[in-house]
Amino acid sequence: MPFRISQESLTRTTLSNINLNYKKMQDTQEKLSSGKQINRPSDDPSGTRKVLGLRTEELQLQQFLDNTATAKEQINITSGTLESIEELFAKIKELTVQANNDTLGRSERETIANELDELTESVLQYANTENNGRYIFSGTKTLTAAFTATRDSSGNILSVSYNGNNEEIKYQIGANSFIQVNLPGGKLFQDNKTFSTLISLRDALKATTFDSSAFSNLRTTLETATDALSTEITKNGAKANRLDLTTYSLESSQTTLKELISNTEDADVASLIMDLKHQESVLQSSLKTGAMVIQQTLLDFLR
Amino acid sequence: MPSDLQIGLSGILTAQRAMLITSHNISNANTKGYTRQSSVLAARNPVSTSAGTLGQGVELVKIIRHKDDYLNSRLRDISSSIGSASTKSQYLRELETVFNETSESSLNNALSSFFKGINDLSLNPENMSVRSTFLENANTLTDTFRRIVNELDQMNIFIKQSIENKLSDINTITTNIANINRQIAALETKGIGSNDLLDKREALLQDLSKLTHITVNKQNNGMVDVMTPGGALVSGTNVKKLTFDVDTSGTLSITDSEKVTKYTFKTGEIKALQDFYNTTIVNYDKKLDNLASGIIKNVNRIHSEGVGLSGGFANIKSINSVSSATAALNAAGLTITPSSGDMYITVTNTSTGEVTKNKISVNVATNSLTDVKNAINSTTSGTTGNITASIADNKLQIGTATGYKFNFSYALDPNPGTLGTSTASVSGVYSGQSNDTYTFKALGSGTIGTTSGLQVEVKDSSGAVVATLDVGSTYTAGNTLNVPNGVSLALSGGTITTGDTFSLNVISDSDTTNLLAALGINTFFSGTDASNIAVSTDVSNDVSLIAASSGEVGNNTNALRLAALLDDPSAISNTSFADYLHQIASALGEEANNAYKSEESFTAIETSLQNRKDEVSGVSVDEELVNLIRFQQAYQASAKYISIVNGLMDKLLSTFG
Repeated sequence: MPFRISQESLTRTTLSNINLNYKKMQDTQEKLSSGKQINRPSDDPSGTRKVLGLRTEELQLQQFLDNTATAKEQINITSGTLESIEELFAKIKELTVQANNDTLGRSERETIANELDELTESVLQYANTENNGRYIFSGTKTLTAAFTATRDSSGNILSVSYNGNNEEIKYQIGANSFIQVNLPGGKLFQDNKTFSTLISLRDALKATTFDSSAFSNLRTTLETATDALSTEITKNGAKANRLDLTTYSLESSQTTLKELISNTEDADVASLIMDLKHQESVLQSSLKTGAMVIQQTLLDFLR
Repeated sequence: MPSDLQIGLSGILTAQRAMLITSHNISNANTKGYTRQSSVLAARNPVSTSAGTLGQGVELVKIIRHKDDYLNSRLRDISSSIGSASTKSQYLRELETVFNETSESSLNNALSSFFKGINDLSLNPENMSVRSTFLENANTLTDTFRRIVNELDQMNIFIKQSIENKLSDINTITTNIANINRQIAALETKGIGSNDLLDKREALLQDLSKLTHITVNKQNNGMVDVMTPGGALVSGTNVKKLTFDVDTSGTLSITDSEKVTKYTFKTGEIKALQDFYNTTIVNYDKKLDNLASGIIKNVNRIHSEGVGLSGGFANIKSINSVSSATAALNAAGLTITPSSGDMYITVTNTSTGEVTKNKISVNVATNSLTDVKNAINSTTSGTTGNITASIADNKLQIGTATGYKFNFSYALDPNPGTLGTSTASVSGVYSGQSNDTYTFKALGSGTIGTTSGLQVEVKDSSGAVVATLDVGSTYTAGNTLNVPNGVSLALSGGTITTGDTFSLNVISDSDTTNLLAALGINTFFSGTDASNIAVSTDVSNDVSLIAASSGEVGNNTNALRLAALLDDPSAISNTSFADYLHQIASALGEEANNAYKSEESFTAIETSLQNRKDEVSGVSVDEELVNLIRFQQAYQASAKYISIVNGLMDKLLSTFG
């Protein structure tokens, strides 16, 4: 049987080749216009799984970053509050030094006592600091004011009680990595001993006879409270540092992950455009030759 | 002389007929399934003369149909394979769009947002708007599950319709084949060839094989039988009409019109549709169900042990009912089968804050729901009437006396007891792997915070010493001491004597039975699989019930436990939820990719087979034109011969006439 080419097979070959070229161009076009190498799982099943896995990981990293930022905010607010309280304690200490002078008269001590009272009110106010509707020193009872004062008829503080608990609040800032973001007030204010000391100092100053040695003892207790506060401020500073480092390492992991995702998923525009140009020229020649071959029969030459 | 004209006439007539065949070819150059025909010419029987035999001209002895049966049957086979592959790839493409895993509305994104919601909840457990956002995320997740299941159902309906249509196509084609069989047989008995009918039948067989794989058996009378593995579709002039049947288990099978004989096809569009209906969709449906039920089970297991904003319930009723209140719990028809273990119910006096921890031990092989109810009623809080359990509609109901609330938290008992005259208070969250009981024992006698060297020893239930705590002169009464595994202890001032003791249940899992999740008590999700997964009505109505805490409002312990599910490497079929989902997506992609590839390669084979067939059977217009010219010239020459003979006759007649 001689090798025969029929009209039908000529058109079929031409058409199927033109279609194939269009299909290739469409694929390239899709990748170029979406900017992605993988537009559906079947484009690259193993790549898809890799990208999906990496994306989940990236999302989690983003959450850790968000958590770190929120933790940082809370710790900064706590630090700020603690520093303000520390300043108040410094002022109180100054006042007690002034007051411990035997040469002072009763009215002068009264003035200092009143000033001390104001400062105690300020400490109480700071101890009940709220952040975003949450009391920062209440343990996990965040919707309950940490401290309440019992007052006499003229509004003087008689005693202060702690309403929170000693439970910690932890945020997750990494896989299996947590950080405590709250500071229960009970521990910080030594189970109200700080407040009772402040109240006793005031009362000692207001007393008709000034007991200098008892006053000195109270001042020592106040000193311990101040030390506890300083320790917490240092601890908080360390936490803030840890959070900064965490942010840094999370961000660098995120950059690496993004690069990995981009390498797997993103289209290589330069090489795709080269492909497209090549496919375009192939398509053109297939169209041209198709037009030539299909048009001509022997009839064109039988005149 | 007459034979001279006869020879010329035979030449003219034969050339004319040959031109007819050529022009038939040319006019059918684009007819689908047309097979090229050509004329076979032969010299007519000669007459004998003394000089030898004298030729009597030409005649057309046969019209040949240029066919290759082997190529035709190969083409039928490949067309069945293409039918399978193209149907498969078409529907897998659609399935890919349904899952849409690389897009924004994917299940993967919904799952990620769900866990992001949990994470945000852990940052702000007391914030109502965060809770509402989390509820929305959860709803998106359940909606996405149900949307996909619904779309799979829609696809199934569509496929069933498609099968119905294609079967009716088969029935039409087989009827036509049987009709042509009859016509061919009738012509065959008269000894007449039927080239164009054969072409028509070949085209029908080709169309039929796209729908299903067939084998064609030729009979002597020119008829063909069409066979499939299930039986004959056409035998001679008889036709078996096909229909389909879906059995109770949902399996679709192709049967004869009486629904008696089942037909199993090898390849072809119908086979692909049937497989898609019976296997592919069922398979992905199952995987989705598996994922959904894994999420429901794990989230509920953790959620049921948590505490909402109000810190506890006054009254709760289980969502799921048991088949019988007296049946053993492992055979009571619960979707999640509970296991034997302990369950803790914490009852709090809302005015004094006093906490009572009640332990209920359950043996699922022997205990029924009624036994659990009785066990709850005979706990410390049960006997005092502070909580009461009851059963209604085979569902467990727990309620409290006024002024009490209860939960199922694993929080530590804050006031586990006293050591001498000193009161112990406990804080922290137990971080140990399994539930245990710590026994605190005074190692010496003296006053807390005063007596030098005074110690308290902590032992776990196996008798191993966990910690030895200094409570002597170096300790300030009321300060917290660290017992390992996240537990903290504070002792108030007082005196203790050697041997004074109290114990503390340290619980990491307050329901090792999973009975709460199984019964649907304090659960987050309701439903059992991807088609009915939903956020439970109670939680939807009141987001404060979302159990982010193990105690107070600002406590996020349970939210952290829920968040850890995202990474749990054994959450479902020994992998994490996300990875399980990614496996589904990539498996589907793989399957679709393979289908596209095989469709492409089958099409390439078909094209090359078609071209080979055309080499034999196709019409080349150029070739026909050459033939036309050839026969035209033969005609012209014969005509010229007749005119010459005629001239001779004329001359003869005019000379003698």
